[in-house]
Amino acid sequence: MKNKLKRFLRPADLIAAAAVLAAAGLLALLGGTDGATAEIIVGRQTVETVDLTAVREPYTIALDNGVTVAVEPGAISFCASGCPNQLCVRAGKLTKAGESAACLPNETLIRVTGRARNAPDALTG
Amino acid sequence: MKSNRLFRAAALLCAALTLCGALTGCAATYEERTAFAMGSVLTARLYAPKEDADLLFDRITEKVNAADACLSATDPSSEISAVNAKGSANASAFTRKTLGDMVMLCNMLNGTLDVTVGAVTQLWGFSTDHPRLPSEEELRAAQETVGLERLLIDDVNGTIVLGPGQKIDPGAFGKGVALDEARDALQSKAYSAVVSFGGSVLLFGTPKKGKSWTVGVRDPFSGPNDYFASLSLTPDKPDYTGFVATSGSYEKQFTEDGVVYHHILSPLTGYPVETDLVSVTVYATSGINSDALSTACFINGLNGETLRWLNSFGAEAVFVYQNKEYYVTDGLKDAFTLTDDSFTLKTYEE
Repeated sequence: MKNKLKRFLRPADLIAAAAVLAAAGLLALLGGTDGATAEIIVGRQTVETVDLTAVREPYTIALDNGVTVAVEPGAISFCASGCPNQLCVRAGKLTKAGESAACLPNETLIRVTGRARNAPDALTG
Repeated sequence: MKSNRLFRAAALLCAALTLCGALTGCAATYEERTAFAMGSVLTARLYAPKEDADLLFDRITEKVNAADACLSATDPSSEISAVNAKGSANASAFTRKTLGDMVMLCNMLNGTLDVTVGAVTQLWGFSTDHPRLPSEEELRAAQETVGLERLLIDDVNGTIVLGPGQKIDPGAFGKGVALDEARDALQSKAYSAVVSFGGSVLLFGTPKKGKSWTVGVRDPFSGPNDYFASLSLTPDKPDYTGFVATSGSYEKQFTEDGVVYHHILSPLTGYPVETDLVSVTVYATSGINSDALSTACFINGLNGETLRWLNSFGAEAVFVYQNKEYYVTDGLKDAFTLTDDSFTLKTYEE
């Protein structure tokens, strides 16, 4: 039995297995969603989806409700809104998976889709 | 020989895939839905097939909007707004029952919260675009209307009757009530879910067998997507439901003559409560309790009475101070992980 196992698992196999384990570990560490896509939601409707990795030059998206969203390589933000407190504009740029900002008076949400590795399921505060 | 090699390669591939799966957590699939309700963002992550997720989210939003149509103090067409406008009006059984629950909580929390504080909160206007510092005379007159003993919930005639000039403000309870309604919607289907509603969170079931939910506690000194700690929570029997709510002075505030005024008002003075706290997060078994307790704990501060309240409700809390100290109640210590070491643990002895 021992001999059979020896014949089946040679030293080279063990080295290969170690390499595979290392690669798997690396994948696990580097894995997770990288925040490549952003969504613009008005009410309950996703009105725009942007691949942030494909953006080469900054541009803006003017929504029908008067809100303007700025898009640049790897980031999305509110750049103008008719709302009084401008909290949405002050929220700044979203770059990481799971980040979001809302303009409540205009019922508009921007978010980077997916979840960063080890990100919590929800935020309170 | 060749088949041996093939077999070895296959075995290694299987091992690698299994390991990748184990290490990456093999996250269960979920559907995410977003809507706007009660002036806040309502987001649900539903561990359910797409069709059921759509159905469940429709039910959740219907329930939340129905609660708002009854209880909103800012929507002029709500039942509470009608009561506030007329001083006396018919109200549905839901509104009367929920208002009764709020009154009971106010009494249990020794008057630290008062649902009849509406005339005072209207003066400050924190829920409007133009909050302002009221004059002392205005505040004194509004304070005179506050008092639970002048509020009558008449179940025989189906009405709510207020004292002279009195107004109801369910603000310290509203999101919690909405999440209780969302929980009722979820109970119709036994899928796990996380529902976030303007900073309050409902945890329903578990993400995966043997796993916990993680809830980030917002860093009060940073942006809305930043957290300084996380809570690892597993809702327990009987209904596997947990609620997390936070009251923070950073939520709504304005500056006048160099003084910052925040929105958490003391029912005793009518002014923003003076405290060295910046936020309190509460984990409880009902939405209304977590919401009310987070505000009451913020107003009352960390002391023996506050800890007894939490204990009597089976709730736990995280207190965060302006000097970046934090305190975690005993039952939450194992669930708490600090992720920003610029915060330090506060020592507290009763």
